[in-house]
Amino acid sequence: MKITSYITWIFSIVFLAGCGVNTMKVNTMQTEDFAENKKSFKKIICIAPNFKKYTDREMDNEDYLASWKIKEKFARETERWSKASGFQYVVYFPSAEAEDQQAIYTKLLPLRRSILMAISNQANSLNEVDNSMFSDENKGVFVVNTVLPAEWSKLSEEFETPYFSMIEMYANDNKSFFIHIVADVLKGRIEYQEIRRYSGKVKPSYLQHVLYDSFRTLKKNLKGGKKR
Amino acid sequence: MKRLFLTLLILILFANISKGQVGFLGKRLAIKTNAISGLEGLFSGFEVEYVVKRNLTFCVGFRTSNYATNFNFADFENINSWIRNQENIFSNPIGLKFENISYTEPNTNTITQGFKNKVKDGDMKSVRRVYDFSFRLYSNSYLSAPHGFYSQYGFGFGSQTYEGGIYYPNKIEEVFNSNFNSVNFYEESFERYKKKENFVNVYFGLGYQHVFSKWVTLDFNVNMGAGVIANSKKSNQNSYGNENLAIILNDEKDFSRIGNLLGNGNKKIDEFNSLSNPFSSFYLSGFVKLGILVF
Repeated sequence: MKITSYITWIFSIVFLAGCGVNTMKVNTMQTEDFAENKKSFKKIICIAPNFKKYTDREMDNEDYLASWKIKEKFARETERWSKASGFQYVVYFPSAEAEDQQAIYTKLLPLRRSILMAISNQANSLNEVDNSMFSDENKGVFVVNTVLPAEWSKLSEEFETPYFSMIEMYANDNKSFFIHIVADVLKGRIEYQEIRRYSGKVKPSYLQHVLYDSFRTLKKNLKGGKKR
Repeated sequence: MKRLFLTLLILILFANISKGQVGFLGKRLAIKTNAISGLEGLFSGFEVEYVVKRNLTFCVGFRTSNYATNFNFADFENINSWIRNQENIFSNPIGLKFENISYTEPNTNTITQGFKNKVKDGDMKSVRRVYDFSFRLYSNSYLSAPHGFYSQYGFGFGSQTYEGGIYYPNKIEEVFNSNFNSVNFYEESFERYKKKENFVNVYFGLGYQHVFSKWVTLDFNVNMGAGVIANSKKSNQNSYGNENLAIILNDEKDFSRIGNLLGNGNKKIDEFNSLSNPFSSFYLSGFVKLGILVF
């Protein structure tokens, strides 16, 4: 009887070690008619995929150089895996070799800031503020599709598509956040957003897996997946 | 055993199965071979692993072993050696003539050679076949299964067959030589032994699987398990039981080698019986599996 009891305890610990250390949380939000727009959802302008790493110490030159290399890799992988998933993401990245891209990137930066502001007050895993002032009712005002400034609608003519995307990753040693946002500048709203939270330290080789998962999730939602 | 099953059932219900995209860059099926197996040896079987959820996979495997061992037959080998040493007696029977005895000159070389082709002298052939069903829970975050650390839970069933044979001297005639000393003549007899056991076992363990270049998988796994013999079938048992051994010993007690066997015989038989039930208690096994991610 004692042996059986010991074995049961060992078994429980091993089991919990296997399934309790997880893992990844994903939260997607989309508009009601998002899946109906899949035919027009072809060309998407991606504004400079951004990878930012936070450390406890002050960053030096080598850290910035490493961060820049990861950003370049992140941009390449974004283009690669968007095509592999059947999307036409046009990535504008501030590359030193292409001056025209640098100009477009500078032009799109204010839009990027507007999109970030639009999602900054939402009740999502990026904004885990435990404050009574941010009650569920107050958060609810901002939760779905905060309006973007109307002046960005002119960008749809210039880029021949109303869809603009933002893909960013923020990482520290313990966890990482990945966000993937698609905004419609003609309607002035965020059509789709995906926020992932990973536990553990990120490695450059993981980026392709993160992007693959993200584009596959977008594809699944465009096929009429679960709406929120 | 009941507690184990109950704990397994309860914990499965509370398992934290992760949502999200499934498969390692979309690949969900891995076919692997047991490159190294603690119980079965090298390249002893294969396994198919299918990714069901982001951190949950199911495995179906088959393992087999086919090897000979002589650890339990050392003393019987002595008998066989002794028989071969008697060839001089058979071929040069100290001036006696055996016209009236048709079987006094058995050709032991022919007999031994004939049997050697079937079963190696003094060896036992052991064949184990195991069918495995298990599931794995991965604890990865960025990467989907089947990459990362995991815990494994499963059960298996199968059979183990022991097959072997011994040569033993069978006295056929006793004559007296010119000094009126007794001389025994023997022919070499051979008896086969076969035993088949069906067993079931449950196990759990830990491991790590790495995916190289999106295609190749390398899996390290350690399992702890317990099993029971479902049923056992023996054939030709009497020829290799204590009774037969006793007959041999009684007939040949003049020889020192057989005397040694008399002292150790029962012990060896007990060892044989215990070794033939390896799953009647807890066990620990390790695997290294090499495979490919198919699609």
